[in-house]
Amino acid sequence: MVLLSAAIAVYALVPLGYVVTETISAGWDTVTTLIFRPRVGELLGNTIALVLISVPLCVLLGVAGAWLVERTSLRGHKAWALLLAAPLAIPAFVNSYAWVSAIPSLAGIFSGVLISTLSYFPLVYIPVAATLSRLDPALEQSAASLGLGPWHRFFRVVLPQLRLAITGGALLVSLHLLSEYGAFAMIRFDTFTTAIYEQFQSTFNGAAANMLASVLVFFCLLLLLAESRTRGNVRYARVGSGAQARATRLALRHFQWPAQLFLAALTLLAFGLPLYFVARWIVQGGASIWQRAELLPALLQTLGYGVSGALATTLLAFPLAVLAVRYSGWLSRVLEGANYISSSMPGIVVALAFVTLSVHWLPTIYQTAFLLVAAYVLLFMPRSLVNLRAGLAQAPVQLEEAARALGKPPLLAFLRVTLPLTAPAAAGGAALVFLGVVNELTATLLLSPNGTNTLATEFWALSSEIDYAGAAPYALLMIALSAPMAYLLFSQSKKAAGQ
Amino acid sequence: MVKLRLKSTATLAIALTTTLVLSACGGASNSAASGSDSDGIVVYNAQHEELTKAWADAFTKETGIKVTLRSGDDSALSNQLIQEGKNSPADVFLTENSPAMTQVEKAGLFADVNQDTVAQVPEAYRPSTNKWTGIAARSTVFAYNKNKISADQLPKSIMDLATDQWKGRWGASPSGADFQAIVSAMLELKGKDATSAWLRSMKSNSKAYKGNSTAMKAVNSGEIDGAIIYHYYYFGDQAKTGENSKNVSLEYFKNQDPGAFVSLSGGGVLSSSKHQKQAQEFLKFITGKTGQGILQTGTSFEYPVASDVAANTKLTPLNELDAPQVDPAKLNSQQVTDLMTQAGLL
Amino acid sequence: MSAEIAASTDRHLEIAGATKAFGSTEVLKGVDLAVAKGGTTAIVGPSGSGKTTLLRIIAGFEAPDQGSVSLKNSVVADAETWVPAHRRQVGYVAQDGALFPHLTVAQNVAFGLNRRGKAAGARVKELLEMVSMDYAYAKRHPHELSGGQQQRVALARALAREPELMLLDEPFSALDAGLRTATRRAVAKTLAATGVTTILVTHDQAEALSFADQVAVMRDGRLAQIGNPFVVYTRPADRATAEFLGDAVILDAWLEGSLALCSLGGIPVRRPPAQGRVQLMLRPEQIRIAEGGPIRGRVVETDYFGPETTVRIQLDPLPIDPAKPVDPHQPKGGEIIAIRHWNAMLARPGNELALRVVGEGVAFPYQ
Repeated sequence: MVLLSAAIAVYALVPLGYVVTETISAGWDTVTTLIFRPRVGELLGNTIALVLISVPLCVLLGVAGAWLVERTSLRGHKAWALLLAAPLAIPAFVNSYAWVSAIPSLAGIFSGVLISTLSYFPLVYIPVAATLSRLDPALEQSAASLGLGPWHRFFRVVLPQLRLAITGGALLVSLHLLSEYGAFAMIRFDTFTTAIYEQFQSTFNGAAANMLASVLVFFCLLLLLAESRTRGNVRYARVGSGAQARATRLALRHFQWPAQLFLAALTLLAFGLPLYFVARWIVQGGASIWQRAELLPALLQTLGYGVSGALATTLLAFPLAVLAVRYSGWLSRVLEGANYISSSMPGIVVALAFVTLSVHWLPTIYQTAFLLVAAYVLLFMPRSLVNLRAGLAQAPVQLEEAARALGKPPLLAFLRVTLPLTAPAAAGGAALVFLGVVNELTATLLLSPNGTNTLATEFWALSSEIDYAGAAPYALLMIALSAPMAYLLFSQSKKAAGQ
Repeated sequence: MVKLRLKSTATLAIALTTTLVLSACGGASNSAASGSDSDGIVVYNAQHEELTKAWADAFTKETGIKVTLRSGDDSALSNQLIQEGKNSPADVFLTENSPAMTQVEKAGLFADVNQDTVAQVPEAYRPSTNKWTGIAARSTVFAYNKNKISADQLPKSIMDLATDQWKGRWGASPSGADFQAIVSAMLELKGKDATSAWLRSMKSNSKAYKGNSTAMKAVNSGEIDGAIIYHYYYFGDQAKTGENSKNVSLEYFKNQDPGAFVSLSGGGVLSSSKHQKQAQEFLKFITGKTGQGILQTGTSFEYPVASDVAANTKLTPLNELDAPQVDPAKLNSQQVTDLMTQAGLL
Repeated sequence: MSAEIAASTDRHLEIAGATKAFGSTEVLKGVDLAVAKGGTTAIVGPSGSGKTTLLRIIAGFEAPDQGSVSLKNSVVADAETWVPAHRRQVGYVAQDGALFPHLTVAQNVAFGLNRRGKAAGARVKELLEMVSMDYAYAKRHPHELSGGQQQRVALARALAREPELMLLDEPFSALDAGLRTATRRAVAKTLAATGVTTILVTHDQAEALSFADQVAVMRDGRLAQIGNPFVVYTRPADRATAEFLGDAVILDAWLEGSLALCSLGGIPVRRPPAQGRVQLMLRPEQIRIAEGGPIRGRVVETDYFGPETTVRIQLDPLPIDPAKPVDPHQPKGGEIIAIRHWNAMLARPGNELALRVVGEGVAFPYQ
């Protein structure tokens, strides 16, 4: 098992290794001419500005939403809690498509900020809301008894405890911003990822694409470092076994309507607008848009890749999770680190690495479903791993030992005790991987076998030809597949908080 | 107890069958994709998917030979073919523009085009080497918003767009192979320095769109006054709803201007193909009466180049466009990409 | 030779020279232990002493680095042999019971059974009765049971396969005080009824002394002492063992022959380890308040506990015999000791008391 895990970890570092070797083998001259040029500066400016503006906005919206829903007398807070997580069901590039339908001239940095903020703020909202709902109100009550007013309590007691949730969410948002292609390409906003894809269109895997990838990877690693620095050594507090007092909700009084208005506007822009425009195109397109011969194969292939990606990822994540939970040592730390790094690699970099490596060294798997699923495994492993770890924590090794003492060989003990106990968490992780595969665009475009189209790539092909009506059924199907997964993520986060 | 055992057995069974079914699916799609164990052919297709699908469907109907498409852009696919080399699963390569064909030809990856096919295509629309052939043609145009500029305000040459007068007023899709083909013609006609200078001013003068359709849509909405695109985007949209082109008019530069460049779409058979016969047949089919007829009557609005098929009557005939004479073999895509990368357009 | 073989035939478990290290931490440093068939052994020691690791090695969850483990005279673990846990016929009850949360009580108990259907149901009922659990609980899930009930179900589950050796890993430590004693009694009774050889690991010396007929004191990866509860309590092998097993009064003493001279007078010592200066250990209950006598002390402080009072007494300095020359190393005495007494009225701070000692003391070499 250790060997298998080590193999998986080495595998996880393939894209990083690819970028590093390409950069080194390109030679210093090529590197300098391709990296230190105005275009890279421009992309750098765009990317940095995007991260610097969108991430704080996402944090602001996410924390404000979570706080309103969890800690105030907001009317209908249960419905709002779900609605604020709903934008997760809309892939960012579908969101972009809807906004371009609404305002065709949308372009540039502020459109990028608008769309990415609306698409990604739930990534902050969900963990913060989950943590808030689990936070022991006794702390706030003690603070109140020490004479702190509501605002001071929020900033001095509550906010510091949300730090992990906020930095974690912010990291996720940043990584999404760095790796998003479709949403930004549609509004003519150039980031490293869109530029790499353009280079790919012109040169397949030319040196310029690789150099841009190395800068992008450098950025991702920088973000990881920054996040682990701010996270520090803080640990989640263990939730006591005793019943926890309910938090008192702050009375909103005359802020009730402004709060309702704010949430309504946010939900309308992030969720209502995309839904409306997808629906509008579907109505305009009429019956003919459903008669495309590619629609059904695309749906089936998406489902096939989604399911096999989810299964393969979950199966391979199992030994890693077991190792991480049950044997803490340098090895499991290294494994986890490797996985952490690979999770930050944008799909375009992973795809570029896989295309190049397979075409030269492994022609037998080149352009096969196997290679694409292998890329999915690498891209979405952390989603599965995080869930499995939480699940395994619910199935302590003592239970398996008890089964062995009752005469069950180790494998049977695992199958009859640990597996059923971990199953819900594994299913949750698998659902998230499925969600990722359904909405994946860049790696699928580069790696898919001949004749393969998924909902995402078909949607992309049609919307690139500005056949917005033709693309609408694909958007609708993606939303329909994503919605249950987003709901699952939302409900799981409530349970997993505190672990 | 019994129930419990049943339950766990069922779970295992479900897991196992799912895995089996999936691996079976994977195997099936693999073999279909590689096309090696059937008589079907794999076409690396940079042409508009709709057009190639129309060709492929008609071809399959006539011959029974299945066609699997891998779609992409000219240069991505040509570079991909070069990297794949002898291992390439591709049998046929179709492009929108000729530079990518030339690139693959230089890499020595094409087989000779069959004499039957060569005989169907006039000399002007194929390279002298006969390693590939023209399959269709398209003309560069300046698409402008007729509500914003009048005919006398139009640029006389594509080179005029580099002047300050046009700053911020025009657009193109520089990452696309179409535009890069136009630049390669400019490079051939005007030389490296002039082209490089033009590209640099383009970086500051123009707006970059992803795709010609999007650029035309921006012209239509008045976001920009004009765009360098190919002619058929306009006619294609007009034939549908006209929603993205109702305010658009086309200007042909003529006068053998680089901006009057007529780009040749190419097709060739890979020498590594294990289905030489079927692949050659496909090439012959699309340059034949039926294949070229699809260009005449279909919705692609590209110019037919072979088998004496006339263009769609809505189009200005090819011989009236006064296009510059450019030898397709001399168009250099690599240098174009380098120049555009240097200019910061890529 | 023949005597040794005869002695080993009724040995159920034998561990010889077992060592175990986790990374650079040596957890077991060479442990030898023999447990007789049908006996009850408590392995007791402070946390980190290696007792749980020893139990896990017996169960087959860990392999010893060196040494061997034999069950009923056949080796189950040494350098060549390894019998995994599920083939050792050993019952095991974990600290928190380790009931499978996804199964009901009945399913938990039936987990190790090879029977199915009605036969299994009858056996489950029988087992639940054995641990005094009502059959009505059979359909419940573990989280619907109290801690004591969970432990009893865990025991029933472990008994289901009729193991010949039962291992209990601190099974009562998670229970609160009242429940703990009751559960311990119930478990002890059940185990005694089945006649299974039992090994209990605990850090609670009272539990070890009351539960087992053999106590093995473990400290720092070694067995410090093995013997019956009375012997290890009254005659501990060293000071640390003495203090671990219960309250101890330690006095500086001067040993001559088998008589130790200290602040409490001359105390007989069995098997003196040395002569001259030693440390003398007495259990507080050996020191009684007397009507009168030469040994005197003054009450410094008292702690009232209801049935008993802890009395801290400042002893008078050592009465030195003028007939003998004073050795420079001879202790001066005058320590403060703590004893217990039932009568709080007798022991008021400042009171002068006469004391006497019952029984023998244990002497340890002076450190």
